[in-house]
Amino acid sequence: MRPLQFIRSQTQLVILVVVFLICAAVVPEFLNERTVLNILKTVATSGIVAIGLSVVVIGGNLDLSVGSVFSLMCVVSVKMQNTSPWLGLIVPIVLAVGVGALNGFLVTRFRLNSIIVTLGTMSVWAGAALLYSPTIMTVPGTFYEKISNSAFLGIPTYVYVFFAAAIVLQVVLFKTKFGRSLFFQGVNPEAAEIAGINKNRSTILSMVICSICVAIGAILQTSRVGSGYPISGVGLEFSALTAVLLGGVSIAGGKGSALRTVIGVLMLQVILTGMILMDIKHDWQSIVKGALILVALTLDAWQQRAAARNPGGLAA
Amino acid sequence: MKGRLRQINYRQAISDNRIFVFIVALFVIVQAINPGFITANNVKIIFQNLSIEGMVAIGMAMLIILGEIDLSVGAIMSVSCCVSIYLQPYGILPAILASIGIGTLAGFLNGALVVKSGVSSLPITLGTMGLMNGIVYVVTESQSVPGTNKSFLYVADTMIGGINLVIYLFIALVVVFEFVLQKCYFGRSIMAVGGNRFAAEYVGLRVDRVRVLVFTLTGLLSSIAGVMTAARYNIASGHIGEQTALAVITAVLIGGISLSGGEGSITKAFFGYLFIISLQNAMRLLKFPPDLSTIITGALLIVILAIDAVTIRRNQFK
Amino acid sequence: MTGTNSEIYIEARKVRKVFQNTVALDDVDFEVRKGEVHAIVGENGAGKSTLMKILSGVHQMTSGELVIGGERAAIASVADSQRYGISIIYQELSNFPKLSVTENIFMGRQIRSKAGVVNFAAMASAVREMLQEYEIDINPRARLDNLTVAEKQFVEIIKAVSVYGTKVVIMDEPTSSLTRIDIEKLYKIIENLKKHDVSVIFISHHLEEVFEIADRVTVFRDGRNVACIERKDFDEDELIALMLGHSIHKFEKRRIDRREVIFEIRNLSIKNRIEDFSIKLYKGEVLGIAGLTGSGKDELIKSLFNLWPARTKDLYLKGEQIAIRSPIDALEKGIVYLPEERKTQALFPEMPVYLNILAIWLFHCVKRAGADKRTELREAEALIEKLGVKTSSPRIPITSLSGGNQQKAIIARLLAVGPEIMILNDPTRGIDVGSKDEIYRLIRQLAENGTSIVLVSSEMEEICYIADRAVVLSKGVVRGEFSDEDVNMGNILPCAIRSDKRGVGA
Repeated sequence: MRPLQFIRSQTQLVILVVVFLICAAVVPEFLNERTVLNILKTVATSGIVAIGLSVVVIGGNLDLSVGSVFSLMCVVSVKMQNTSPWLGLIVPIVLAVGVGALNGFLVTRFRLNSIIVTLGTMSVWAGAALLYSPTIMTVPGTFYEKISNSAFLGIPTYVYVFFAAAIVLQVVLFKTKFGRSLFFQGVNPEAAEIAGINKNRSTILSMVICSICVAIGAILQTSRVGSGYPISGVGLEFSALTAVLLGGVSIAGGKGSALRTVIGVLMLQVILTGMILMDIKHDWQSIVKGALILVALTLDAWQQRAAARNPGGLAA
Repeated sequence: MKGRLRQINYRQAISDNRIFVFIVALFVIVQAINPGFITANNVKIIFQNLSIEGMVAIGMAMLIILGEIDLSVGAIMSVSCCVSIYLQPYGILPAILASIGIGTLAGFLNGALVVKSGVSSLPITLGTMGLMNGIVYVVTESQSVPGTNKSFLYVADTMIGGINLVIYLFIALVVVFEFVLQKCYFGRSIMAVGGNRFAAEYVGLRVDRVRVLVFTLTGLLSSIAGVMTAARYNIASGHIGEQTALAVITAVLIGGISLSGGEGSITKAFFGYLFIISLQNAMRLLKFPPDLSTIITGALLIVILAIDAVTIRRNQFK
Repeated sequence: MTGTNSEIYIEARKVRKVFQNTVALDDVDFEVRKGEVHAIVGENGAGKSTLMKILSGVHQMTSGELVIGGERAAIASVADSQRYGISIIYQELSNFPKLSVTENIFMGRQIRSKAGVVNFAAMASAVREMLQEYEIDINPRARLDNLTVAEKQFVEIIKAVSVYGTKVVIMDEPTSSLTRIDIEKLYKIIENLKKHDVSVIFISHHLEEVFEIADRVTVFRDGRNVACIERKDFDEDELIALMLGHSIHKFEKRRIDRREVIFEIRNLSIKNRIEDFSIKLYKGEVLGIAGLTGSGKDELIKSLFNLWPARTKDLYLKGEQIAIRSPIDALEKGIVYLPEERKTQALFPEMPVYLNILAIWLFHCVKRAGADKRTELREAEALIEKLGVKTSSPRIPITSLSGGNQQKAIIARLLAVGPEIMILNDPTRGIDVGSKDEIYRLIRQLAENGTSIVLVSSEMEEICYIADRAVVLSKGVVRGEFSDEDVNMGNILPCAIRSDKRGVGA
């Protein structure tokens, strides 16, 4: 492929490399192995949420409740772990299926806007998390905390879990009927319905996948840190969405991929890490995230409008 | 003559105004369970609680009627509160003016971004919300910062006839904005644009101007709320306004204003918000755990949305 | 009462309108007198809508001259045409359903004080006066969506005439969804308009109504003004003959062996749209359902796939009763659907041509949709060739193709799943002549190979051209059924444009 074509098709990757280089230039510690490792470690748990969210966004929906669900899963997992380590693994995932199915059901049965529905469920699960466990809880050393704290080639296992999840979702998106149907319904839901694509099933499934990813992220987080507290997911929906948009997933749906979201997650973390190393106060991160969302949205809208105006021929 | 009566749909009129039924039902039921509900003192508390955030509800009502939404209203409130606290040393008036100015500007930016970019107001205001919240966290360094000028508190604590000044302000705003919405050219333009944007353009209304203006006014109202928050609690914190967007949107919807736009009134939004605050008050009186309260608000939003959606669907196939 | 006031208000000379490759209007002359009711009749695509769009500022003419009120006029926008006193009455486009009649009429031009306070009382009494003047019985405070279709139309007319000072009202198929009573009311309003020296351009395919109300009739055919006839010379047969003209080529009618009924609809009723519709589809035939605006054909087809609710509906496939709850059910039974609005209902805009073509195939014909790009491209390319879709590569976005080629791609999508029954809704709408021809040939070929096709169309000529059997739908009721050689314009057109007392809401 010619270089210009390559750059255009892999814009996000190129931007990631550029951003990384810029940070490395400004902050020499960036090229340190420890920094890169830190980035990977931080990215793992929130990144899983982001790739789950990107599946939903590709299908043309949004899930704002991921943060609250994360909180809920954290405390559920920890409480269950105190009973039995296996429960701490299974219960959150089963619960996630229910949560995702509920979101999906509300959106499809009543044809509601997923953003506002998940705004509502966000509240519900946030309250539920606090009710279930008003304070922080710790976990006794369990067997999978040991597993997840193990490392392979110097990189912790949970980072591998993240990349594995990304690959799995990538395969799902591009090699299964369900995944590919998401692209169609994201671009034109009405045409998808007429073409016989089962929109309801796909939407519900995409939301279930997202919630399961959130549960996995929560399990990884609690095993890594050894505790869970009921507001651990506050603001997570925001970070996840920023990462998703940075990764080139269109808010309107129909465009993107899990691997692209990984790049988006990395990009975000590189920027944030750069900020930390430059001694910029933690509070600035929210500002940066907000700004990045707006930039990503406007760029996306621009691209869409340019494409519509310039189809290269006669349009319908 | 019979034909003319047929054209007024009585069933529709009743279902449009069901919030009043809900409110009455709520008060009756709760009073039966706990007679401490409808007492002069409790009612005063309810109104105290609602008069600040209620101002934001006024703006949100107009936005939803317009067919838009703004998730950043809580953040604007927080920013204004913050500015009030930090500029207190320079005098009360400058602090208030600056806060309101900045909040209004924030609203204007929301409107300009939405209109110019052509992107839906939902993701855009999600972004501006994060941005503004972030600014507050930075400035307050994630602490709760108390104000230094004690006289600022007088703004909120003044009583006239035993009733808080803020309550008067709120009622005044409700009256003014309802008047504009129902009886003025600008307000009717909002209804028109929200009802059918293309038709509004067709008859010559300045659609973009109306949209930007309503976002700006919402910013103004949120900033006034922010100033009042500073006056009452004398604290700046990133947590202020966290629940506002959700509470206010739910309030507007439960008041009977449809998300599809083009109809509604400030009065309905007021009663919707009154319902929510009363409900929260009742839950507190009945010793519900506070987090259950959050859950119920969220669930309420979903139920209202579902009812709204079913109505819209029914009208599609007339 | 004829518009004897012979003063000409609008005069259009040698108007020509060319769209890309098609000549929509070919040096057309047209005039409107003050206070007259001037009807325009003609087939779909004959040019009447185009001329009206030019007069109302939606399109600009390629060449030609306009003289309005004695002066040279240039209409470059909708606002311009409003300034010249021309208004076109739309049914849905320009109203506010949740606001009152009064507000709808006055929106944007309310009676108000300097400060912006609206004077509702004054507006209401003004509206009451307007309504009285035109003898319309509507409550000025009523919410617009509580009015009937006819009443909404009347409000539009009042708005145009009283508030915007319109002198020429254009009504495009105003009676299509109206009951007989409403039509009488409309006539009364038109009479009142004439009294006020307002002219009415009345486009309609219902000849009887034209005869009832018009002072003059202009006949359009193939983009030309073929005749302008005064009321005293009205003759139905002559008008139909003028509308028909001659077809481009003749497709030979073939002998169909009508033995196997592959699909049957019984007792299909849709509230306010269709009354008790029943039809049989034989294997290998092309069945045409001809219906103009307001006939209910779109809702009829949508209800087959449960995209529109039907009150009663019995469907039989090869003799067995079936239920179709969604397009998916239909697909599984071998029935495919080509929707009428290509852009919003069929295309996936940013996606490449080959994915658009495989949109159904991927999910219903392949076991694992594993993105085996080579197989997919091959499959798509085969279809592209079979249908003659002109595209430089299967990978370019489908929006780069011309309308005709896009439609061929969508048809390819349907063919990819090897359907037994194809239901095509206005398949050649907005397509160049060359592509139209290719699509007709394709339809004939498919039918000969055993596919059964239902062709729903508002273009009568198309039905006559390609259908083996035709059913004419008007106002929700079947007006006539013709087979083989009887499927011709001479039979079909009069059927479609006669509106007798029957029909939905009659």
